[in-house]
Amino acid sequence: MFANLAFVTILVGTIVFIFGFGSTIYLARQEVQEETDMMVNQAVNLVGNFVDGQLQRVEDVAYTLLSGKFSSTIRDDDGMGFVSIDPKAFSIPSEEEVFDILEHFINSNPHICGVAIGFEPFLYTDTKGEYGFSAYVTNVSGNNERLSLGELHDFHQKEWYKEAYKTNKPYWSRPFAETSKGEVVACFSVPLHGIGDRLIGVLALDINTDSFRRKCDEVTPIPGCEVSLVDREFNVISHPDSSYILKNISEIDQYSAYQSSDSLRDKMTKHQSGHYLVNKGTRREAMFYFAPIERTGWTISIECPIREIYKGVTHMKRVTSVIAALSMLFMLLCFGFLFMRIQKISTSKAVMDRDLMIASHLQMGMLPKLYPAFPDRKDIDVYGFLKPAKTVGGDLYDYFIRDGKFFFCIGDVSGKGVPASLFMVVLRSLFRNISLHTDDPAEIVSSLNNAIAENNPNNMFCTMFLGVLDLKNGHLDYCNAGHNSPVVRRKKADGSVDVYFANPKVNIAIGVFEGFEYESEEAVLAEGEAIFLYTDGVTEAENLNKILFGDDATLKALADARANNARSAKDFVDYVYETVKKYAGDAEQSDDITMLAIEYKGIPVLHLKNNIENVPTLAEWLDMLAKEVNLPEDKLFNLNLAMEEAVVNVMNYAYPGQEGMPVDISYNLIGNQLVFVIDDQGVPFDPTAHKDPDITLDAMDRPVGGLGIMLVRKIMETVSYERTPDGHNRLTLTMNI
Amino acid sequence: MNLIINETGNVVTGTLEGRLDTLAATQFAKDMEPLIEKADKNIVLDCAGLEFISSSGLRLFLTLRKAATAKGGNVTLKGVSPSVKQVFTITGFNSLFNFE
Repeated sequence: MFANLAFVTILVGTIVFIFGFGSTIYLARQEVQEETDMMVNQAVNLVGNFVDGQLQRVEDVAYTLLSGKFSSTIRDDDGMGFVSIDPKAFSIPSEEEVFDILEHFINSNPHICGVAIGFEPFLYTDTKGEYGFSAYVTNVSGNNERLSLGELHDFHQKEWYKEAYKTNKPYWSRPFAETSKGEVVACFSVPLHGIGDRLIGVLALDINTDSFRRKCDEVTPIPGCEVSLVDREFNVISHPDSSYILKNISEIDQYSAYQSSDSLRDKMTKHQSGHYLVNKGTRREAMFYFAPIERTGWTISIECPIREIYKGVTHMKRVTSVIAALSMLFMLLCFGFLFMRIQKISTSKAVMDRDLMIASHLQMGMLPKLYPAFPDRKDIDVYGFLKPAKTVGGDLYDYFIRDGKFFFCIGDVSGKGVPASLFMVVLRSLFRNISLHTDDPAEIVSSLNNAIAENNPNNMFCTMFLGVLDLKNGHLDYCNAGHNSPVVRRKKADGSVDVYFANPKVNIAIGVFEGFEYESEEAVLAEGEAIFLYTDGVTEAENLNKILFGDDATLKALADARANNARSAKDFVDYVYETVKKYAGDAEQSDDITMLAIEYKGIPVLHLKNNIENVPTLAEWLDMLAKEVNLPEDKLFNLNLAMEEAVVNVMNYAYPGQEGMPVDISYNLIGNQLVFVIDDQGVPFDPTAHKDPDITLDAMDRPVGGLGIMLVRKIMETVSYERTPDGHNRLTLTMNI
Repeated sequence: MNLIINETGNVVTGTLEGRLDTLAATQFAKDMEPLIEKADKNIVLDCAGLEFISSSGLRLFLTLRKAATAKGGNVTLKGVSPSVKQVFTITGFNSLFNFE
C-alpha cells in the first residue's frame, strides 16, 4: 500500500521533473540559439564591414589616382610637376615616368600591394614589350619591384584588363595568388579614358587579402567556429585552413552543406544571407551562417559547431541531471526512511493489536462462558453470549449463584474500545463484590452507581439490567438502570406460551447521577418461564441499507425460536444471533452483540396435607427421585426414613388441631447434594431445637419421643430450620449422593 | 404390613412382612396387642420380611420390650436386614433386643 504510494509519488515526481527539465532545456536552447544568431550575425557584419571598408578604400584611391588629384599631389610634393594621368588632361608620360608615378603611389598607399596600368596598343608603340606597355609595381617586403608586363604576356587578355576594358566599368577580378609569396590578392580594375572619353587602358590596384584573413581569425563569436570568405564563384579567399585557399568550395569537404543543399547553394548564389543546420555525422552538427558582401559578390560564412553553441546548455543539462539524480536519490532515501518508520509504526500497531487481543481475551475470560453454566443444578438454565464489534467491547453480562439465589446482570457501557472495556471490567468486579453483601437489586445498582459516579471524569455511563432470582421459588427482584426492556416468556393459563417485552420501570443509567435512588421491582417466574436480556447491539444491528434490526424482529425471533427447535437457553440465544446475522448480511457489526437468556426450570415440589395418610405418597415420590439420580438402595432406605420422620414431625406439630393443612416438599439437586425443603405455614416449630434422647438408658427408662428427629439428624448431612418473614417454617435437609 | 403370630409352647413367634412406616405403625400397634399380652413368654420376631421401619415402628418395638421386661419375658429379633438393623444401631435400640 505504502510502497505503491511511494512508487506513484516517485513516478509523478519524475514525470513532472522530466517535463520541467525538458521545457527548461528547450527554452534555454531557444535563448542560446537567438543569442548565437545575434553574435554570429554581428561577427559576420564585422568581417563584412571590414572587408567592404578595405575594398572601398581601394576603390577610393583608384578614383583619386584617376581624378588627377594624385598627380597634382605628386607635383606639389616633389615639384616634378609634369606627371598626370588625369584622363581628361592626358598627356602621355614616358614609361619611366609611369613607373615613377605608380611607385610613388604605392609608397603613399601601404594597403595597396600592387598597382598596374596597361595601355591599348596604339599608345607607347615604341615600347620594348611585345604586347604593348603595361607598368606594374608591386611592393614586396617594403621593396618596390617594377615589371613591364607587356614584355611578359599579353596583358590585354588578362581578366583584370579585359573585363574592365570590355565592360568599360570598374571591375573586381577574382582573387588570385600572388605567386611570389603565396598570398591572395584581390584586384580592382578601372578603365582609363583619354580625351573625348576614349578608352585608352586599364588601371588596376592589388590588395592583399591577408588583412581579411587576420580579421576573420580575430572574430570568434563561438569557440571552434570557422570564419571564411569566398569570392563570388565560391573560391576560398580566407579560411583557417590555408590549404583551402583559392580552392572552390564545391571541392572542399568542409563545405558539405553547400554541396549537399540546393537551397543553400541557391541562396548563396543569389547573395542572400541566412543560416543552415549542417549534419556532418554524429555529434558533429554545425550551424552554417552566411552573408554576402555586395561590392564584390563575395560571401562571408561562419560555421559554428552545435556542440559549442549549446555547450552552456549541455553543461546546464548535465548539472541539472546530476541535481535531479541526487534529488531522486534523496527522495528515494526519504521514502525508504518513511517506509521504515511506517513499518515500525505498523509493528507497534501490531503490538497494540496483540495487546488489545490479550485484553479482549482477559475481558472475555471474566465473563462466565462455560456451558452448561450450572451442570449440577436442575433449577436454572442460563446462557450468556457476547460478540464484540471491535476487539474489546463495552458490553458485559455476568451471573453467579449465592445462597440459592441467582444474581445476574447485563450492561452496555457508553463508547467502545479499551476505555469502555476497562469501565466494563470495573463494573463487573463491583457487581461481584457488592452482590456478596446484599440481594436487593436496587441496592446493588445504587452502590454501583455511587461507586462509579463518585469518580467519573470521562462521564462514562452504563445501562444495566440487574436481577436476583430466588431459585427456590422463582421469585425475581430486578432493577432496570436505563437498559433495554427484557423479553419474558410466560405460560398462560390455557397452557400456551406468550413472549413479550416486560417493560419494567426505567431508572437512570449507572454513572450519571450520584446518589440516585434506584427502585427494584419484583415478579415470579414459574417453572419453564424465561427472561431474555440483550443489548442494543441486537436490536440496532444494521443491514447494508443501514436499517436497524429492531425490537419487533427481536421479539419475533424469540417467539419463533421454539418452533425452530430451540429448547435450551443457548438454543434461543443462538437462534436470535443467527437471525441477526442473516439480517445484517455483509454489513459490518457496528456494536457489541450481547445476550443473556435465563430459564427458571423450577424445582419439583410435592404438595401434601398434614395427614399421615399421605406418607406413602412421599415414599413413592422419593423412589421416583432416587431413580433420577441413581440413588443406591441403602441410601434410598435412609432417605425414605429421614424424610418420613421429618415430614411426619412437621405434620404432627405444625398445625395443632388442624387437618388438611399444606406441607410442601421441594427437591433440588445441587452438585452431588440432594436438597429437600419442607415448607409449612403452621406455628413456628423448630424440630432441630430438640435434644436427642439418651440412648444409653435402660429399656424401661427409654423415652418414646425424639427418635424421629434423631434419625433425621443422623442420616442427613445437614438439617436447618428457618422461619421466614412471610410466616413459613422451612426445614432444609441435605444428603450427599 | 402384616403380622402373623404363632404360639408353640413358651415361644411366641411374630412374623413381620412389609413396611413399618408411620402410617403402618397405627395398624401395627393394634396387630401386636396379642404379643404384648403374651409378653411373659419368649417372643421371637421374624423380621426377614420387614422392609422398612420408622421411629413409630421402633416405638412399638420398645413398647413390646418394656412389656416383656415388666412381665419377665424377652424379645428376640430374627433375620433383621442390614438396613433395618442400622436403624436400630443409630437409635441405640440394638442394645435393647437380642438378635439372632
